Amino acid sequence: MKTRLGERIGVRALAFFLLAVSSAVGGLCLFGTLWCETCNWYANRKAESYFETEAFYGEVERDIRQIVQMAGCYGFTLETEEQYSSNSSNFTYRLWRLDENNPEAEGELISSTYTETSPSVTGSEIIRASDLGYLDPIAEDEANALYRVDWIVDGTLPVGDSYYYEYLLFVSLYDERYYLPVIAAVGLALSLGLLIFLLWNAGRAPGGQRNAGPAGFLPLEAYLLLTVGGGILCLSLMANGAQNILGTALWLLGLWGAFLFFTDALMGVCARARAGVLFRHSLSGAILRWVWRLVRGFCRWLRDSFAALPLVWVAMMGGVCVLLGETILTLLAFTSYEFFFLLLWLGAQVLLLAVLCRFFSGLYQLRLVSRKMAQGDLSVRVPAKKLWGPLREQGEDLNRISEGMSAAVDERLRSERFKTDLITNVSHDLKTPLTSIINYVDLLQKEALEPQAAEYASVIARQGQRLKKLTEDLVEASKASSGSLPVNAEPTDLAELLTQAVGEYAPRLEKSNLEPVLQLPGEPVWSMLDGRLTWRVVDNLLSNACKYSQPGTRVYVEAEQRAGRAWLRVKNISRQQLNIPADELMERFVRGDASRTTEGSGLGLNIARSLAELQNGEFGLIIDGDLFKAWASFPLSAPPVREEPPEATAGLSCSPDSAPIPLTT
Amino acid sequence: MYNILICDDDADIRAALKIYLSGEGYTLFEAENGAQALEIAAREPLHLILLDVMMPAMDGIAVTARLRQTSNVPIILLTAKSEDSDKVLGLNVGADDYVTKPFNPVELLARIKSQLRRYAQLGGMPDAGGHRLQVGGVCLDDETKTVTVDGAPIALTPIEYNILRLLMQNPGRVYSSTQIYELVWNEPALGSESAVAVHIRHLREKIEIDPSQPRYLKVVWGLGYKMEKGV
Repeated sequence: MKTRLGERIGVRALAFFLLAVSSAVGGLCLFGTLWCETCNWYANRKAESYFETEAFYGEVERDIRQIVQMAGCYGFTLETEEQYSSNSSNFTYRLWRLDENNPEAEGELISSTYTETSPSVTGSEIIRASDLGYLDPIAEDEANALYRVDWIVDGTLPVGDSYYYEYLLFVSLYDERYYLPVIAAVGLALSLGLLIFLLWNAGRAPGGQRNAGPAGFLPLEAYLLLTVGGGILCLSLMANGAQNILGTALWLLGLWGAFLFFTDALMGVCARARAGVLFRHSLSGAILRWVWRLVRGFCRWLRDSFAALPLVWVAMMGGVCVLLGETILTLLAFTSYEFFFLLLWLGAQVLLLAVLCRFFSGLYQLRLVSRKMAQGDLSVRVPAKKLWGPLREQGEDLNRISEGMSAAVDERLRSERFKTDLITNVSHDLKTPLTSIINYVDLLQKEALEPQAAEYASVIARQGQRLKKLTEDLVEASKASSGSLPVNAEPTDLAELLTQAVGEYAPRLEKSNLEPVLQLPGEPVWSMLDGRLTWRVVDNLLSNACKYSQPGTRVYVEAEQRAGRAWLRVKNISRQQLNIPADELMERFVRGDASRTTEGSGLGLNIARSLAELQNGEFGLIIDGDLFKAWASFPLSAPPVREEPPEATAGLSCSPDSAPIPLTT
Repeated sequence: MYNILICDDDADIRAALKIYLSGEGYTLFEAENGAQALEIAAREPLHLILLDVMMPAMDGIAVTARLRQTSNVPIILLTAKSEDSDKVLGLNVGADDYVTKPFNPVELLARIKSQLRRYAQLGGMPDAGGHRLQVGGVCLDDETKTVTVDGAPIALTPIEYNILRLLMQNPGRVYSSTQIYELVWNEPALGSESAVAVHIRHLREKIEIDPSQPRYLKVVWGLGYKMEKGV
């Protein structure tokens, strides 16, 4: 980035120096102009000599008045004579006290330093003491005193007093009087321009950066003290006024110095403001900041130590404070009989009530949400932002628990579904080769084989069938447990279903030498079930009964309506000792005999449980010695809206007493 | 004799099917994907098609849909997919039957014969009079007291015959065991309903090719039994 001229510190220092010079020149010239104006040099072009100027007569007038005042009124004749002796002043005098009643008379000579010289300017003036304007009231009788002053100024101005300096000024200024306003205007305009330049560039550094200027290390207050203080000091130089030429010079110097100091102060402030550290780098700002930090730290300390206290302690302290305040306020309200305290007491009661209501409503909300979560609804959230204090923390914790659990549940569901898809796809792929195995073994068995080979082939055929059953069960088990089976629930009669199931299983039970005992309540047991899924439950249980029961025993199949639920039970006597816990039997691939030689996949009970749970049911096993009991229970439901009993169609009605009809084939 | 097209992408399965079917004297054609199957179907007069569902190029469902635009040749789908939704999809696009892998060869042969019988007799079927009841391939003549399935006569006991007649009078309607007992035996059930289940099972063994996957006489679990309506 290009460095601009104003960003260089050296350029600015030079500009400041120029400002000082130009303001001095401009100021002096302005003053000279004004002086020339007071001397009326612009109006009176004839003033050829100093002794004809207004300035000269102004000076004379001033001296006269001082002499009258000092020597005449106060009587300091010696001092006055010394001051206006011909050695120390070009102005010498004679002071006369005139008779008030006869001013024409010569009067009394009070003091004189009158020295005749040539060339000289002379004059005389009568002055009344009261005209001086500032007489002491004690000397009131003096007020009407009349004085005459005869004066003479040495035309050669041998003494360096104010007449001499004024003469020098006259000599140097009078000829230049028409240039002065021009120089003053140029100088002051230059000063103004430089001032603007300096203020505009204060705080800028090369490359567009900002800093607080060369005096930026000083705090704002110290800087202002230095600059403004210097300015005020300079201004105090002006306090003496500009009675004579020296005083005027001092007065001008003070004004100039003050101007420069104030310019500096302004530049410093501008630089700090531009750098953005006007208040930051100041003592008062630092003190304010320190106080603020102190207060904030204290508040934090109070809060933290409060938070570190156990809730019980906080509650206790709060309770004690409330009780104390309450007691004091009540006493005040009912002993002072002042309306204000009564109103205060009432307000405090309302406030307390509001706080309590707020607290308990928050508690109630927390309770509602946690109850819903306990019931399994993980989508509810506590509006924690509306609560406060410990209730809010509690609510946030509850929300986090809920989020964590729903995430876990979702994850679990996803992985279950993934597993189901995997198992389904794998079993589809297994089925194609299995088809060939089963078919070709079947063909093999139809060939004329050696007895040994025929036995081997039958083993392959049997195991092929087992593998087939296993793949089917695997798909069903994974589908049932992941919940991806559709459930078409409708009112179903559990008693009817068990009757049908036992009818279906009659030949297999007979083959296993088992006697089914159907125990039904004699009336329908209605429950919201998907008949096909419930049949698979019973199917699995009866299939197990056929496989694992002791031959020659009975299998009890029961339906019951009890405790608001529909129950089904299958009981049988195990052929082998059951040394596996009931819960473990329901896991996948666990079988009572643990040998895996018999038919079956070990998935039956697991499928039964999953299917029962899919229909909002429960499933359990009870093993009591060799007695094996499986039960499932479902919620009861109302009977379905039944259509009318079937009417017998004319001509095709079953004749009640029809004898068995002989059938031809 | 009948022309049968075997379409499956697995050569071993095609070979096994050929062995089974050649024993019955059918003329056999082979295709290893759906496109070939359509080609052969356009060229040869076919009487039955065995169609695998999952095949490259064109799957069995698409082939069935295409064939049904021009032909009503019986189609039996062979597939490893065993979900109910797959079966419903297959039957809806126009397949006549559905057999899941791994299949029992004997059962498959029975289904093939059944479909061929029905196909051959279509159009030659006498009008159903007041004394005849028909549901799909099951035909009951109440005058001669005979029952035929896909044209083949079946021997039934009187109870079985009465149960079948009752269910065929109102196809699709569900009769509970108690209702069946009271209407067939014509006496209060009083706990004897379990007899109905046994008779139904025997009946199913006689009229169904696969009694555990019945086409006509279906168990509505927990409610009763019905004769399928729309076969």
